[in-house]
Amino acid sequence: MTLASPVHLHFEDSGEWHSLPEWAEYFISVGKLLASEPHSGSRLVSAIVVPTRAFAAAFVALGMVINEAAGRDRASEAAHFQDLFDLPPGTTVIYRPKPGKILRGVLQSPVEYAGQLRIRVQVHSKEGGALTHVLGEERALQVQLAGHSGKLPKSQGSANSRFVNGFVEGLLGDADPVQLGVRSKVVCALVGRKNALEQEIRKTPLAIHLNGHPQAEGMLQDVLRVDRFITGQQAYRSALVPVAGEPPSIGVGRAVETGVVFDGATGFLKWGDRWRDRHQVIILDRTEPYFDDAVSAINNRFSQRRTDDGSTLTDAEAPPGGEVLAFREAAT
Amino acid sequence: MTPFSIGSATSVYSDVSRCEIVRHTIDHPGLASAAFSLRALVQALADEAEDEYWRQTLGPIRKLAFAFCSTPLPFSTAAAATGVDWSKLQRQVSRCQQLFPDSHRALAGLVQQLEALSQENTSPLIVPLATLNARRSGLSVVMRNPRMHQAVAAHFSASIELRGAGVVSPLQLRGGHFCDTLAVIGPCNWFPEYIFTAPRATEIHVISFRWIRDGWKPGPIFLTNPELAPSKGRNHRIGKLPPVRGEQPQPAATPADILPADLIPPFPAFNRRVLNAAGTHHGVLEETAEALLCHLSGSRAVLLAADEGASALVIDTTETGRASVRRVPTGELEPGLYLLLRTSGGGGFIAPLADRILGAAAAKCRSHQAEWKSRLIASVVERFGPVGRRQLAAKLSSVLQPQGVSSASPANVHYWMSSKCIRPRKAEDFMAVLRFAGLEARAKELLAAMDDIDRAHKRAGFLIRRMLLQQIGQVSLDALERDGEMVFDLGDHDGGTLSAFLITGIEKEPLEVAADQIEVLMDAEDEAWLA
Repeated sequence: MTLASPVHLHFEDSGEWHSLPEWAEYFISVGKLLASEPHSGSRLVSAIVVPTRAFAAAFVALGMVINEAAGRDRASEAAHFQDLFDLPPGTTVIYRPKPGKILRGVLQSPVEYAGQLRIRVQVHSKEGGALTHVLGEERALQVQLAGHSGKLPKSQGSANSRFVNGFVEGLLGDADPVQLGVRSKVVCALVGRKNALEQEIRKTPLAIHLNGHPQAEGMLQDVLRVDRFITGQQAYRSALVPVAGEPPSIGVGRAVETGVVFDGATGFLKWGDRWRDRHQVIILDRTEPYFDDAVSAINNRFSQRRTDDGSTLTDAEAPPGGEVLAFREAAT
Repeated sequence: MTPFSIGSATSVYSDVSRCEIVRHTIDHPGLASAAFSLRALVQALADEAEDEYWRQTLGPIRKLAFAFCSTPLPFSTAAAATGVDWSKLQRQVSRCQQLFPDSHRALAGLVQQLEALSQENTSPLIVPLATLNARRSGLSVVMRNPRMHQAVAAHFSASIELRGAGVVSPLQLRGGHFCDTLAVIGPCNWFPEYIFTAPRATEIHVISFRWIRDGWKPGPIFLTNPELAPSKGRNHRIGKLPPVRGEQPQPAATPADILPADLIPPFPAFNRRVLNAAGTHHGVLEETAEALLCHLSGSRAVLLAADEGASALVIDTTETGRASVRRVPTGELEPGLYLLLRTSGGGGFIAPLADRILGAAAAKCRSHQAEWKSRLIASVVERFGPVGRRQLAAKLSSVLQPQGVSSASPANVHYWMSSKCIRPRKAEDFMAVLRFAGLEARAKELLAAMDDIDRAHKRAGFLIRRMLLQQIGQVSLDALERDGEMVFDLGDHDGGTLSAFLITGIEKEPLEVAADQIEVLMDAEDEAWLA
């Protein structure tokens, strides 16, 4: 298995933008690779010891969500089509007929055409001819919700890029994102301290750079869409389980699709035995109080539950000051 | 604490990549002789060292020897900072002649050696520090004995050759305290491993005495052998760790070696017999409570109420904003948090402030509070006889639960009977209790008074937390993180003086103690708690 390609993010430090360091790319790649691993029969446990927990779990989660968005499948197209189908006429959207072209639109009542259900997206005003695209399930992901006024022009030029989150688009790249959709799902669960993760995910500016200049700024939250940090009607893509709170609900337990990222020893020691059929990444900060206890727990699991079934993540070296133990264990 | 940015996290990874650990060994024949004499005496005493006489005698001796080995202060200054009482030690030597004549010569010789050392106006630990300080700026020094931090910091600022050097605690080196050079005083095993494997410096110099064995080196922490080729079901990788240069330790320990643990004064064992005493008397009037022993920095400890719903106010320097001062359930306290205690007078800090808030009504309200409890206890005793508080609570619970008071578990009823409790949470449960106590006719009046107290307690908690947040916003918490303790003066009018102490450990087994021992700071150097 090879490392996933880097995501070309930049971070701000002392008023200047710097490209994301290698350690951060490493964690993103762990998330991407883990998200592409099948769950059948066994799951991957990857314990990553680090000299500081900062941003490690958030970047692993980013990798998972990016990879999941890239791997859209028939089921997600169908689900998205169903969501659009159920929206009321007049809902404002954007429609991307081809890469780089973005049209403002308004949903019209769906129709049945040639024996199949279709959604309709009107993109020109009545005065402009009321051009309406009739789209089947296979093109559903090209339509996404957008917060424009609903007033359509006679014809459309290139002024619609503002309705697209360039940061999200830059990160998801060829995935032709649907801005993470209208339907919530839990690609991954983050188990950790809410304040620390919120600072990293929702309050740390990042940017996508093109030719040495910042092209689009954003936060990890734009892509992670952590359930506890979303606003309004946004759909979520990941769930936060605060270690200081109650045990994760059964709903969160069942909903996680790809994996769970434990941001620190405390969450792992509390709830490491949950989500038995989902991949796990455990970030262990050498400086945290229950580090040794968590290492013992992982050593026990390794010696008692490990199976030789399937591959174990990347061949990449561990980051400086780090130690990585990845193994498979039977999913129960 | 300022949260880590991606930039500061990058500095950590960069420091690990570049860091080197350099060992420096130093000598002092007089101190070596004293250290070997001390170990020989302790080994010869074996179990007898637990005797009260030896505990009182060896305590200050070990403390002094440890200070000489672990503190970059002139021996004379270090001895003064430990507060050693030479005349008391000499009296102990004299008593030894009668009590333990076989050990008298060894003890007398040891005390003489230490007294001679404490006259010296230098320490071999200072020279290498001065050399490092002259070579590079940004020298931080970490040592094992937090109670010496202030004395060492004062010495550094008064010394020409060490001016500019700073003292840091292991806890600060968990966070964002970065330095160019870190000097570690003593063998590596005296310190948490992360100081070396997750360094916040590009150079770490370990300065220790030649005769203290120090075989530590960085290595894997997971059990599997990382040198095995990755198999289908396993992959083990180790990132770059700081290499160790300088004088390497002998490959195998010999009986002549002094091990790092030999020099550390024993962890204070606060006498469980004393702490438990209240629970064994079973007096009807004696108020007891279930408590957890919480160990604090600087060999101190405190008992914290462990009943359901009990919590403690803490400062969490890893959090920001409002979350940095919060109440944490006793069962969820953990090492690394700073516990807030009333500095003078002992006991909790909420009730005194609540009484000030209640003003003139305080006396009447508290009198009502005491009255319903005493009437309740008297009623239970009248019905079930004079047994201990726990048994009384269990008996009353067996009466109340069938009446539909579902929250009347024996533990809760025991808490309701204690002076700390204001009233059962549900008003209907309080009514049932008052009915049992024969106070039904005054229920309305008593309920109103208890609600007044409850409001005042909530207001007091809010005020104290707000004042602490204001103070924390204005002052640096470096001293708190460095010394493991800090005093917060909230003003006489509002909250008086509170002290924050670093939690170093929590005992898991609760103790049954006298209620007035709760939240009283115990100091291992105050022998009453150890006797």
